[in-house]
Order: sequence, then C-alpha cells, then structure tokens
Amino acid sequence: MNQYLMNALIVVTLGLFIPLANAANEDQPGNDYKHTGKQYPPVFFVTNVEDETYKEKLKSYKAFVDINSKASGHPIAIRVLMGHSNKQNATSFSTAMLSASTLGLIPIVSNTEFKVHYDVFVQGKSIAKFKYQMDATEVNNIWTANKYDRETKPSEQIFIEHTIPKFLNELQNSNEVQLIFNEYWEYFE
Amino acid sequence: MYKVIILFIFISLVACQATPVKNSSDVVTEKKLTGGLKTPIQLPVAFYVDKSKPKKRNEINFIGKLEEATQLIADDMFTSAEKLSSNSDFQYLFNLKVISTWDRFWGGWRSNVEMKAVDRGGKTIYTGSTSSKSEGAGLYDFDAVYNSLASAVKELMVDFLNQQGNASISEAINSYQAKKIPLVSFKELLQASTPSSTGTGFFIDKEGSVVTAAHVIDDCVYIEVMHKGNRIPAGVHHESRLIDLAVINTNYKNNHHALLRNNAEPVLGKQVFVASFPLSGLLSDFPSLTVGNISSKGGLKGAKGSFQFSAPVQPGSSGGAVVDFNGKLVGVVSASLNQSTMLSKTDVTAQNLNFGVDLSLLTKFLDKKDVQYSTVDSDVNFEKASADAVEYTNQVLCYN
Repeated sequence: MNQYLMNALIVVTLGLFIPLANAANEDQPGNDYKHTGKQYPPVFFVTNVEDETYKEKLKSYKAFVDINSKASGHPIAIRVLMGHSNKQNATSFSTAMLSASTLGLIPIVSNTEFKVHYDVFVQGKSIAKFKYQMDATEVNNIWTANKYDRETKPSEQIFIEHTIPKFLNELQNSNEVQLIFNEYWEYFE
Repeated sequence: MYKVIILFIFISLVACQATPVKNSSDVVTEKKLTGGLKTPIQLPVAFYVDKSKPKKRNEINFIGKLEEATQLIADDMFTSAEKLSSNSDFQYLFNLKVISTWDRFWGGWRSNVEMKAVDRGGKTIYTGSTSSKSEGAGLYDFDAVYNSLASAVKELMVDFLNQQGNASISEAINSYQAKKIPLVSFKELLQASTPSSTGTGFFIDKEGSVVTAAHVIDDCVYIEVMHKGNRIPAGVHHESRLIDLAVINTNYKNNHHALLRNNAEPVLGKQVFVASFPLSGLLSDFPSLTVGNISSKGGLKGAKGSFQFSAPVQPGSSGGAVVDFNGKLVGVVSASLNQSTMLSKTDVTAQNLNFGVDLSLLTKFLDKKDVQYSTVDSDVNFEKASADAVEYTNQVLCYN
C-alpha cells in the first residue's frame, strides 16, 4: 500500500508541477497598437531575428519614420535580441534523473524560456530596456536532444511578433524615450 | 528510498529561475525599522557603487545589478534617490561595494556587500556589510543576483536608519532644509587623484563656458578643466546626448575663446586643424595641433549635422575644436571610425576618417540653451589662428 502511495505521490508531484509552471507564465497575445501623433525619428535597427517578416511587421505599425539596418549614423538605435534558456528546476532535474536511470527510455521534460529583449540606444548608450518572456515545456530524448542548434519554433515566431505592439505601447509610455524623440525633431525637423 | 526521492523533488522545486523583484516592499529582510521610523524618510540621498576591479580571478563585481538594486530600495526608503552625478544634492551618500563568487558546490552567487554612509559634509556616519546569496540560481541567472543584492542593500539601509535613530534623522531633515551644512567636494569624496577619463573642450565665451562632446562628461561625478596646468572645477551646464554636445561651466574668465563665422557651411576640401589633448597619460600636457581637410559634408549613413575631416585625432581629442585656417570654428570633434572594427569586418583600415558635429547643429544647440557666442567675419592668418586655439583649448578631466 505504501509503495503505491509513494508512486502516486511522485507522479502527482511531477504531473502537477509541469502544468503549473506553464499556466503561471503562459503569455497572452500582444496588445493592439495604433500610432497616433507625430511619427518617431528614423532609427538604426539591429536584431538577431532573421525572419524578415518581423521587421516588416514592425514597420507596418508606422511608428517610426524609418527602421534601417544599414544607417549606423542615426543617433537613435533599437536593438532586438531573442534567445532561449533552460530553466534549472525540479522538472528537468527529476526527469533527467529518470531518463538517465532508464537509459533514455523516459524522455527529459524541461522548462525553457524564450526571451525577446528590446534596447533603445542614444549615441550607443542604452536609455531604455524592455523584456518579454514566454515559457514553454519541451520533451526531448536524452540521445537525440540537440542543445546547440536550436531553431525558432512557430509558436516562438508568433510570440516575437506579439511583442511588437507591447514594445510600442511601452515606448509610448516611456518619458525618457519620448523626450529623446521630441529632442530629435527639435534639431532635425 | 522513495521518501528520499520525494524529498529531493521537493527540494528541487525551490530551485526555479528567479523573477526580478519589482517593489522594495516585496524584499524581505531580517531587520525591521525600529524607534518609530517611517519610510520614506524626507531626505534626498545619492549612491555610488565602487567600480574597482576585484583582486582575485574568481571574483566578480556586479556593478550594474547593485546600482539597479540600490535604486529600487533607496527610492522606497527616501523621498528621492539618484546615482551620484556632478549635479547631485543629497543629505546622505551611500558608497556601496560588492564582491561576488560562484558557489561551486551548491551553485548560486555568494555576494558580500559593503556600505558606507557619508553625510553632506563628507563625514562617515555608518559602515556595515552583509552577505547574500542567489540561492539555487544558475550561473547566468542575474535576476537572482539582483534579488539577493536588493535584499542585502535593504538590510544595510534598515540597519543604517536604525543606528541613526529617529532623533538624528529628524535633526538631519531640519539641517538639510535649512541648508546648514555645505555640500562636500565630490573629488574629496571620491578620493581620486587621477581622472578616470579625459577629453577636450574649448572656451566659447569670456565667462568660462566650455563646449565639449557630451560623451566626454558622461557619467562623470566630478569634472575639472585643465587650462595651462591649472585645474579648474567645472559643472555640467547643458548637455545633449542625442547630438553629443555639452556646455560645462567654470569660473575662469578667459579672453580667448572660439569665434564663429556667420552663415558657415562646411566647405568640402577646406583646410582645417584640430587643437586637442589626445592620449592623456602618454603624451605631455601640451595641446596637440593636427591639420587636414574637410573630406565630406556628411558623416556616417543616417547621421545629421555631421561632417568628415582628415586631421588626425586620437582618444582624448573628443570635444576639441575643428578650426579653419582663418581662425573660425568649423565644428566639434565627436568620433573616429574604429580601426579594429574596420579591420575585422573589411580587412582594411580606414585612414583619417573622423567625424565632427557641424557648426549649424552647434549653434542650434547653443541658441536653444541660451549660451552666448561671438560671430566674426574678419579673418586672421594660420599662425594667429593656431596660437588662439591653443589659448582657448582645455583638457576636460572626468572622475567617476
């Protein structure tokens, strides 16, 4: 009886933890954004998001006069970096142990974070940072998992695009950034 | 056996990636405020984080995280809190230092935070230290480091306030409001004998206003202008990071100052010289003068109000005056193309590719900030122009 109880406890503990972690961090689709007022100044744009549709989507909001990846002389720059990281928590640890003890029969369940960082620079100095994060659970086989060559998943691609209106809304509410944008137009109208 | 496994799983549950704390009230400390003290204390404070390199190879100094953590806590505990700058006004200055090491056995960053509080007169009134740890966090979990530092800073600030007591704090509030004690010299506070960086500036009027590049005085806690071997204290008067220009004030009255020409556009090919103080520490304290031409009326792609010139410049030349051979100001030295970046990206070096802020942008800035300058149309010869430039060019010393 005790043995069954223990087995049940382990399963329940693991089973509970995984959906809880997901539910807590599940990201909702981005808010809407409609640009009003004067357009923002042209910016030098740097990103590691390779998909061109992202940049086109950012441009489609018409918030900036120009978003240019080659004009490094613009005094204002926006850098967008995306990246994955694995959470070191009970789920990954326990399942890694189980996976190892069963020689890979049981897969490793790990919680991953997908982060998108936006930085606004003025003359190379960061003046504002915004971070968006999506958590996910991945199931990998101990023998086939490839840690070093990870491609962006469709769900992550959608998430990246959802961060755009959120970023633009935050930009609109950032006093420091708005002051710089206004100053730009005072000098270069 | 199963009990051990379950225990292990539950212990591991605690080891989740940290979320950065957003409110000071969420930071739990062992010490609590006593003696009827209530926050926010009605006093402005400033803080300064020690930037010296740790002595041991396995030690790291989380300067940025400590600054962020201190801002969060001090904002909540005092009416205003700011990172120490040349314009700071405060009743208490918190001087903080952190040294962190990675716990190889249990994981997590173990930090030792030291705090010294100085009053506006420069008297040390508190010293304390505490240790904190980003429990169970990964090597790159800097949010956990931030949380642990926030906890340490709050612990120290609570301890500081408790040690001061209600009576002493009330007295400090009255003293600050009555401005009884003059603010200590920041140079004295920093105990720095050598500047952390240098640049160049030039007098724009007879009243001691010096124009320089904004990045020369970025993050300076104390600024000095060195003119003919004399060190003159200076303060930031106007600054625009966007166009990389600044005006600093000194009390030095100098009859020599830069002269501007009416309606001056950069003329392609025009001969110019730069008076500046490059490579401080390596070269002597005499200004150097290099000559060249205006090589383009535009700067880097996308840049506005910028021009290219070929007169050689080095680190320390930023903020120097670009002057034509008739003695009129053409612009301000702002940047040079990074040779090592060029070499790594294109396998060639860029020769004499330097950038300046042009006169139209400079005058817009000075007009906007209501800084007086002189325009003259009469010309002088090169010898007179260069001799004048040496008289109005200064080294700008930055301490932080």
